[in-house]
Amino acid sequence: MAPGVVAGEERARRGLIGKTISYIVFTAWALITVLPLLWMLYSSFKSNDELIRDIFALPHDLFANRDDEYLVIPPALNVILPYDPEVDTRERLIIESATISPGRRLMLHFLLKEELPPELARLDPGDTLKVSQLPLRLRVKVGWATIWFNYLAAWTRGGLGLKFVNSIIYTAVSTFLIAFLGLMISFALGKMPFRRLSTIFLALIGLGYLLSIQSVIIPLFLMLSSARLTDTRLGIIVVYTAFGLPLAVLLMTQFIRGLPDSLIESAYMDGASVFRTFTAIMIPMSTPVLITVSIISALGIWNEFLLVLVLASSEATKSLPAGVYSFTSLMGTQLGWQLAALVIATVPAMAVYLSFNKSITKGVVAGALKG
Amino acid sequence: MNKRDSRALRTYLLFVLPGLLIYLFIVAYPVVYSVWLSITDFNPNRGGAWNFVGLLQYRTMVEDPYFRHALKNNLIVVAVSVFGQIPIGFALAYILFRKLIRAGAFYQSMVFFPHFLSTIVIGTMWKRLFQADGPVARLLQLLSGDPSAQFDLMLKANTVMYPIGFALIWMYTGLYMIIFLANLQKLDTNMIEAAKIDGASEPQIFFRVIVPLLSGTVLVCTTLAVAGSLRGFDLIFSMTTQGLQRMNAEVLAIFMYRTAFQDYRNPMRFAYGAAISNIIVVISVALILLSNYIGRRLRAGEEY
Amino acid sequence: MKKATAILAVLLLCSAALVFAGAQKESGAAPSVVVVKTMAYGDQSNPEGVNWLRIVDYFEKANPNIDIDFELLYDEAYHQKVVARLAAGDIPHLAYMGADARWGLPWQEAGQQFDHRPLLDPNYYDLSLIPEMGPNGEIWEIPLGTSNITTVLYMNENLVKSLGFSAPKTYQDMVAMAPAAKARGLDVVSIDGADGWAWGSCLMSMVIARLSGDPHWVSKAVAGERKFSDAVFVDSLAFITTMIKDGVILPKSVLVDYGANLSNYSNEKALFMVQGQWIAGSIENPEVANNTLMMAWPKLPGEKPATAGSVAAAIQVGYGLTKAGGSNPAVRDAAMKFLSVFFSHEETTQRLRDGAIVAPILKDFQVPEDLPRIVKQKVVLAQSAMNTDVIDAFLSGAPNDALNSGMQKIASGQATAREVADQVESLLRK
Repeated sequence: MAPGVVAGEERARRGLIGKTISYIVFTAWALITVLPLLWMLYSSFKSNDELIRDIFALPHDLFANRDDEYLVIPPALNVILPYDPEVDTRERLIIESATISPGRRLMLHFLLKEELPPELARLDPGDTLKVSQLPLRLRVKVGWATIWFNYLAAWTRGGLGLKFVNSIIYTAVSTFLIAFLGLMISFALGKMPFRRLSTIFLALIGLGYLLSIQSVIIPLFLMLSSARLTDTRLGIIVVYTAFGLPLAVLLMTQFIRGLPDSLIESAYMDGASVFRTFTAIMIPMSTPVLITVSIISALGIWNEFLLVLVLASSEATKSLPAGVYSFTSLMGTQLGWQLAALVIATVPAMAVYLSFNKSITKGVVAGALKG
Repeated sequence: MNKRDSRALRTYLLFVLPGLLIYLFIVAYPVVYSVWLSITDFNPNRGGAWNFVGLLQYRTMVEDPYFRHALKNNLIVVAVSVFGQIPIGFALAYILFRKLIRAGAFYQSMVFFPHFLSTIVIGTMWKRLFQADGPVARLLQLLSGDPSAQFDLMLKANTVMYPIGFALIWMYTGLYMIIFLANLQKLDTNMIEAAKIDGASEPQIFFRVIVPLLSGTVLVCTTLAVAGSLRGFDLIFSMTTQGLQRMNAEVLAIFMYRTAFQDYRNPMRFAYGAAISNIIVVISVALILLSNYIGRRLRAGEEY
Repeated sequence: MKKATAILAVLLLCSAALVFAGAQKESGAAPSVVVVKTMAYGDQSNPEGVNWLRIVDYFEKANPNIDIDFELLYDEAYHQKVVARLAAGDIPHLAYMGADARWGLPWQEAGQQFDHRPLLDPNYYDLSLIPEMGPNGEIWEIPLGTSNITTVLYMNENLVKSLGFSAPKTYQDMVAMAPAAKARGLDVVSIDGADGWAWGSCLMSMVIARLSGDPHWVSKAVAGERKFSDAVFVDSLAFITTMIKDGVILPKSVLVDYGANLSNYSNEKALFMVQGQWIAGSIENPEVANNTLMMAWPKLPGEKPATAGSVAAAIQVGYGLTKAGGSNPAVRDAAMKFLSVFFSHEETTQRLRDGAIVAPILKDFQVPEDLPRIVKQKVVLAQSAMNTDVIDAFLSGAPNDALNSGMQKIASGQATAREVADQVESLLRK
């Protein structure tokens, strides 16, 4: 056989082996990643008892709630009313689940007596009733509340609504500042003259990446409290920006240094000012690294908990991670609630990432050179 | 300096100063505080005077056997990061860039996804998977035929870093992969096409053309990997139970946390912790300079 | 591209506006209002926090001239914040604190501990149930309840009966159960051996007290009057090996963590469970919970009669005034008024029901009839068993870490009792 054909077959075979290995690696990776995600998702629909019983089993209790028994209970110290009894004076029947976490005052419903048939409205504390006995509208309401028990509990008890908004504010503003200021610095350090000054600045900023939060938290708190910036959104954003800049500057400077000088020089020759060069050329050309840096910074800030736990004391400034970490107590972790809070915290981040991840692979230089 | 230079300097500073000042405002005081604290016996709870004690904290640290153990573990983590995460991340990025497999966007997300998972989830799942008579133990019992087999790699100091290394690669390779992907975008694809026409195979293109062109990126990633390895805490902390497992797998950041915040016997524990933190920074800087030096030497041999 | 940038800019402007609506603390209360700066422990999502918020709300409504200015934090964040505030000189008046190293040391170092003895009404609080905390018997905080029992042996009565046995009176009785348990695929004793602290706090604290006959052996050893390398401590450590040899504890316990331990017991895979009293409320299986007997360990081989039936208990954490709060008469009175509501009979009963405390420290406390069986058991155990030292209330840092991981090594066959004892001793005396 002709040597060229043999070589071609060799190469084709090696290519096939290479492709197979690639697929195996990627698929295995995908599987190992998907399993914890799936576990987190389906486990968030299990009650705490179920989770203690068998941590890997599929959810059941919360869904099969038609025959759940409820106990009528009197108002007591640890029965927190979701309404103000002085404003809303309608009579209510307080029932507590006897099937799911009985006795803990966790699964309570406050049914308006006026919505119940007379034989149910007459019930006294100590009597039991089943969900199937309730009128249709209430049965559906209780049914849904049972299925979404963990999410409702996590959202209301953990105060996740405000925390979600805070997380968005911190992440959006800090990431924008990191990306914008970082790009400005990187442009200067990467393409402008003054090499020695740039090296010093780069090293100075890079040093920030080597610091761990534990080592700076106490002096940082001291400094911020004297600047009256503790427990304020502004303070937290400034801290996140300062700690996010090192990574951004390191990555972007390196990327920009690798861009061809010719484009920038041609812009100067056309008479453009530095600012015009920056906005018209630098930003579009740096899109891949801008997006990468934004994703990495945003994710880091979205999940960051130690800094915000210490710097934010009041409910108004806490972010989602503080909420997620709050479901542990001296008496044990409410794992179901914690998982629900985690799903609430993680799924939006993943959705945002998925919409941006293609932009990392958009080629920029080829287009600029041709056009 | 003539007028044009001074104007150039002004522009330069205008671009650099806003971000730099915010950074310095936040970072400068804690760094100076930390360095100063490490050469005194000050205790922030107690207050009072800052008595200068010289290098006492550093000497105590060097003589502490747990420090050496933590340092050894940390160097293993650095090795896993630099020689595991970066090459694998680079290779995967190249495969995706060259579109050598289908559904690239899906696989790209999958490799990066572990970053989204909270260490709470990873830690809980990990402990349950590897617990006594858990899923992995049952698998081992099935495979080995020994009904009392258990997954005890985490209990012994000389095997604990295998499962931890595996988890580290799974968790963080995606980060380097997307960095390489982003940097691959700025390459001129004509060069690659030309090489293909010349009859080069994919691995040859990778090693001969791409790697040298992105050697700068490799260096930056190495810097990030070294820094991240030495700073890293969360993953190892959540995967190990307190006591034997965490002591076996202790890295410098965990060592610092244990001795600075939990060693109530030592009235100088905060100063000691500051000393450890500073040493972590010094080791990071040393390793980064070393890797940059090696990188420059290797590049010098490959001038095109 | 341009539209995306425009939308982004608008979003950012809105966010920027919200940024400056940051949390503004209410500046300056009316002159006649007494402000009690407080650091509280708990969170909105756990019972401690929910109860705290409710009590403060109720108290402030009833006492409009007192403002409880509190910060509610949890776990590590709480400890870090305490250190940060002490360092910044922002000392709270009232705080959640204890008497051991973890909960009390920061306050002691800052010189902020305050003696509550003159303030406690002996007709309201049963002072015999509040242990001495300071070197001269000072009381630094009002504990939430009686001392926290850490070495409880939980027994599944029904399961034990089904094997043909009754509650063990000696260790040998437990050994006798091993073959029958093994035949049924059950563990005799389940312990979360993966957590180092469990060996120290939930097991060894009891063993050393029993074998030495001295309820304060541990504190004496840390003070230097005894040595951890003494024979009695080596024997205590060696008891772990004995239990493994007898099949009472299995070597794979070292791979069982807190959640798995609870799961084993709740799912009736174990006859006994070793843990502290706090886990009682987490036994989810009502069958098991209602048939659980909370007991002190039975008679160990070689135990001394002086400490028969003892349990190890740590001083319960609670709320206490700091020197900053106690030295200001108006603040002190306001805080004590608040505490009298916090420690009212109703609130204490609630705490008992929630499983937050073992037993109340109030005088003439009526135990309600409708308490779950397991809560009543706690009260009985608190009243009947002698309390001894808990190891990590006195031993901390490297020696404690070495002890805990050392016991795990003993259980997994990687070290001997003598080696561990010697290592702990040498680390302590360095």
